[in-house]
Amino acid sequence: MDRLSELPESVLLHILSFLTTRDVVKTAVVSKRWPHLWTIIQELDFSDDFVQYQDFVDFVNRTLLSRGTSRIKRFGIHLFLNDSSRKDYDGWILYAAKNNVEELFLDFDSDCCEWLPPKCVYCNSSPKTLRLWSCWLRSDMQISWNSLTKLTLRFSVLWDKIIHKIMVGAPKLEFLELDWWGL
Amino acid sequence: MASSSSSSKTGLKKMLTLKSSDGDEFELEESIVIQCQTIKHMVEDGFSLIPLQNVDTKTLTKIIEYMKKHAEKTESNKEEIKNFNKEFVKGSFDDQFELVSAANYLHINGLMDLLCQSIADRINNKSVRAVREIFNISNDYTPDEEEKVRDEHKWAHEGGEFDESLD
Repeated sequence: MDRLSELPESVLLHILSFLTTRDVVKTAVVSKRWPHLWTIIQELDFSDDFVQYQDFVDFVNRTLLSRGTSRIKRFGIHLFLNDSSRKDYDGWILYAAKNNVEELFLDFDSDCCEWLPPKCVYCNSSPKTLRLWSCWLRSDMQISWNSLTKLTLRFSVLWDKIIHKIMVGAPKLEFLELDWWGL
Repeated sequence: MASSSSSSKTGLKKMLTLKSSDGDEFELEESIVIQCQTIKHMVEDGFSLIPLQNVDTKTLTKIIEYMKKHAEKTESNKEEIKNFNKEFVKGSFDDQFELVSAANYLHINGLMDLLCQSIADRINNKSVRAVREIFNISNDYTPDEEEKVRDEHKWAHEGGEFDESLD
């Protein structure tokens, strides 16, 4: 056996955790040792580098369906917001929330701040790290982030009321980064 | 715990000896070696001579070099450590695999991240053929089996350009 495939499974998974999920799924074809690794990896990073947007959406949906309910440590998405796929985004985020995601990175590019997160983003006790881009946090929603220690909000709309709600709803917060935000 | 308080009282640095699988011994300060979780636990159990049967002298020398440098880490030498890390992962793949196996056995978290990231960088965006060649992975699929697995994972390969280069 080659040196890479000889490594213990935990080490192979550690190596794969530094790759985008697409690269991880591709490794299935490398040799017989590899096909199941992508279905148990706990770090998911989806970045839209597909030619067709729909191919990207299908890729994410199919990956999540195939891996079932394995625990997720990190869930990251980087894409340009597309109106027709909002329900898909909400489904992915709900999936991550239900599988106790610890680090949630929702890097949405947009022409304007227009993404309204689903309810499970406001009240979720699993994430320790949360990053939201192009996000409009509604001031009439309660925030409950009991485990959160690190929060980054970028290109986002923030009302005073929301800042107050974050301070109350995230008692363990140690690090807050606001980048290109508006009121 | 008792040993570290007594060493601070006397002002002497507590020394430990690591012994490689080739039988070579290396004497090091405890404060350097406890970056390694496996050894830290042995020290807590009272060991001062630590035999490492899974780590040869060549690999252990590299690991000690890493631990010594990282024990010097402060707020002001971040750039220096970064450059050190960059140089550290420049060895051959065989060396890297020896190191990653040893770092895994010894539970040195920072070194595991560094090595795994470096190996992952070589896979990143490469075609399957390039990954096989870079890591000398023999294709154990029959052509029919490979066709089937490819077909099952076609959705990951569609609509993208992959790097065929071997660097």
